Amino acid sequence: MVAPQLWLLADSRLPTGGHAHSAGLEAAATRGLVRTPEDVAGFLAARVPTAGLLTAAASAAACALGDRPAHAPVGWDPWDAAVSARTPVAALREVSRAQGRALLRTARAAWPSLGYDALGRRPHQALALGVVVAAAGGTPHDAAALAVHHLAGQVVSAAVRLLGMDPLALSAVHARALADGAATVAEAAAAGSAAAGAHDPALLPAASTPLPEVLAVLHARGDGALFAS
Amino acid sequence: MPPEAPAGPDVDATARVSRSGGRLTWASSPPLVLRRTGPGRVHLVQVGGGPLGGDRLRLDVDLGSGERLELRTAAATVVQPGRHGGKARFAVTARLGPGASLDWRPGPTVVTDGADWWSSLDLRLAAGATATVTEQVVMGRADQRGGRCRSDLTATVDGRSLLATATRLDGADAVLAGPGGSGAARSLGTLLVCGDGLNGIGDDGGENGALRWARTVLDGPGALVTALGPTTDVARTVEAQRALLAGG
Repeated sequence: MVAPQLWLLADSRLPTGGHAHSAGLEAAATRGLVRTPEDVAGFLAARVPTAGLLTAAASAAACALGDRPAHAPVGWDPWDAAVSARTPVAALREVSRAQGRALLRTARAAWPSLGYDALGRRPHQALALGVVVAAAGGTPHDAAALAVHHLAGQVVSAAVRLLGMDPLALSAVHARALADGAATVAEAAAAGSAAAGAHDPALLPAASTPLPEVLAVLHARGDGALFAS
Repeated sequence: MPPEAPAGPDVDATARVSRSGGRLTWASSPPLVLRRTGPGRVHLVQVGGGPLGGDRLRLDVDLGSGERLELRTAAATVVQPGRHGGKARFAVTARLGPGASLDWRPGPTVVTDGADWWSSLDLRLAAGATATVTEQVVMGRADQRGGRCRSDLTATVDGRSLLATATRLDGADAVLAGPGGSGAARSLGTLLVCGDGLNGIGDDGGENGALRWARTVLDGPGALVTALGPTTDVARTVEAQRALLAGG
């Protein structure tokens, strides 16, 4: 059973700024590349095992590392570099750091921990999430699951707002994406825990697909978007 | 099974090229044959009609302090499924000493239907080294949608991670060829420029018909260009960006 305090971390009403992001859906939707609930399902099926795997594994690693005594602070710099290296699009690194900062601000109030300071002012969102999950009593697997949950939630809620899709049809897409995403969560939890155990951020997985990365640059350079990413 | 696939056991080969003290040395390992084509230039010749599923090919590059090397291929690489299926693997590792310079510009790689290709390029740069990598993947022959491809690009500069990506393509997979994947692009072009000297270079990008491309600045001394679309448009875009960022 998931610890009740983690349910709050899964709640999109927790003020962490995630509602301002579509995880790439807007850029695809405005170009007519995503039109139907089936397209949203396909978009998620591509994104969860790639971009989702990366953030989930980094979150799991940070959770495993963050669960350490205050007298032995984690040296986050190589982990920060590893996440940056796996996030080649500069605009998405900015998005990640803005969300990481917002999450830490909320977490300092909700789950006070001495472990946050070592992360710096603008940590990557995945690393911040992992440390916050540790502070809230969760496991690396919980952190990975939350990362995938947030990715799916951003895509699905953006699809409702941008494309006016039937929320019931999208609920089915959402549920299926989370069920299919369980394999990614398990893979990410194992890979992240292994990387943390070896103190080697190079062991974090990398996986990407090219179109969302190209569109992320174009989206950040364009005007009139509803979502920041 | 493509009729032109030659018979024979799976290939396991490692070729090497290095330059130090101004001296170029190289060791071929068939089917990877290296030929010197200029004072600081080597061509990789793939003999024997591969790569095929099951092949394991490696190329190690080692450049000493201040050494320069241009690395090319003699022709396009056409990846085929082979007799027993399985992945065809090509791993390039390049170590660059301080101030060394590598320009790796192979011809396009055509991943034919049913093929499974995994290529990787691991760049380890000392401080002050520069590397320019230009790669293009084409999804299948003219009448094909293309096979499966994983393309890893890893770079560290002075021990710090600069880039670690593993790009997935599969022309036969509706998800990976869809809007969350490649958008059914015929070709993917990649340009990585690492090293100092990119001052003033920012993000850029554009869309023209089926061509979409973007340039982004990495978190460290480097920039990455990604282009998707028709093969010739992708090649032209990547070459224009290479000329802009790396000159020559």
